Amino acid sequence: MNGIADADESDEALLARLFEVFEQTDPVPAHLLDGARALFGLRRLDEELAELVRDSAEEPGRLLTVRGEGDVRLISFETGPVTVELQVTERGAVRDLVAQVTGTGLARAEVETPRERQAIAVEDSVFTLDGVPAGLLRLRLLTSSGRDLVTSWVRV
Amino acid sequence: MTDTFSATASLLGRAAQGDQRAWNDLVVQHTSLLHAVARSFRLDAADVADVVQTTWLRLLEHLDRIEDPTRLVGWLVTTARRESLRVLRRGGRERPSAEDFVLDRADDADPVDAGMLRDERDRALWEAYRALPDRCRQLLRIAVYEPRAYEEISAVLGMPVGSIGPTRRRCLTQLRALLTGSVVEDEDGGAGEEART
Repeated sequence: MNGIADADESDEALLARLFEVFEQTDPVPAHLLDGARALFGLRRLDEELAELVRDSAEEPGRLLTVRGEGDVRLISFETGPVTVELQVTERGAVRDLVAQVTGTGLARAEVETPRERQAIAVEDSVFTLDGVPAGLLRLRLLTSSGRDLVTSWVRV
Repeated sequence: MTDTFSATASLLGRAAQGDQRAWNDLVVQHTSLLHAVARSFRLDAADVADVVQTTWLRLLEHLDRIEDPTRLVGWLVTTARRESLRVLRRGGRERPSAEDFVLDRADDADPVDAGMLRDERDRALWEAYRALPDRCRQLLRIAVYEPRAYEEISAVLGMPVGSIGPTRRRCLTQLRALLTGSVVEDEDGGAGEEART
């Protein structure tokens, strides 16, 4: 043999060598680490999370549908009695949003992406925002009783 | 193990209190593994970045809800897997089973740069790895980071924990056989067969 392989090499030694190969061929890009560190700035201590409870994009029936322009996706979030229903319509590289909040009154609403926040006018617990760039977003809500709510992040 | 437990618990606790440095430590400790998990689903660089970012955002949302710090790695890889499958579905590549899909994907998503490997042994190892069945490639891609984390590996592969050890052994045997140029015993080429057990 020419030293390339060694049949007696232990599993651990082989895995360690493979580890080195991945480190060379497919290293973790520095921007992934920087980006993950920077996410911490998005966290507030005093806000309540409305968890993602339903996403039509995750439902089995969707496997049969053909994706295309104008697809509508329904996403629901909940915390206690408060429900947030978010309707997302695809329009090329942007999304049109309609959200409805039940179980509480709303004083303020914002759409947040990892880069920015945008206030939206609320009318009867419904608010709309057109032309949001595709990507990660969440809704930040201030209830009429003064609670800060935030939904899970979703990629739209 | 206790040290690992208390260290992780401490980092989670401090991060939940708003300590950026504790968060940075968590990121540095686990991003390589999350990167490997996403890569094991043959996602391209942009999709891998999406998966890693979303996984860290999910942890950020749940920082004060992680009840068992010993399961943090499992929680992270399970989340990364779910997000990876979500990305696969989102790409309009729906299949009845996303796992089947991984097995079917072509090699063109392999973004790695074999030119980086100047060492002849490393290049041979890389070629041998690429000749393995997909299931083995996925398992080993993760096992290099957490060689004995069978529970976590089983969570990523969607295979029973009990089959991870034997599959890992078989994959390494096949890898070694490819390296030495000897005949692979498992002639139907399927360590993926383990998935049925």
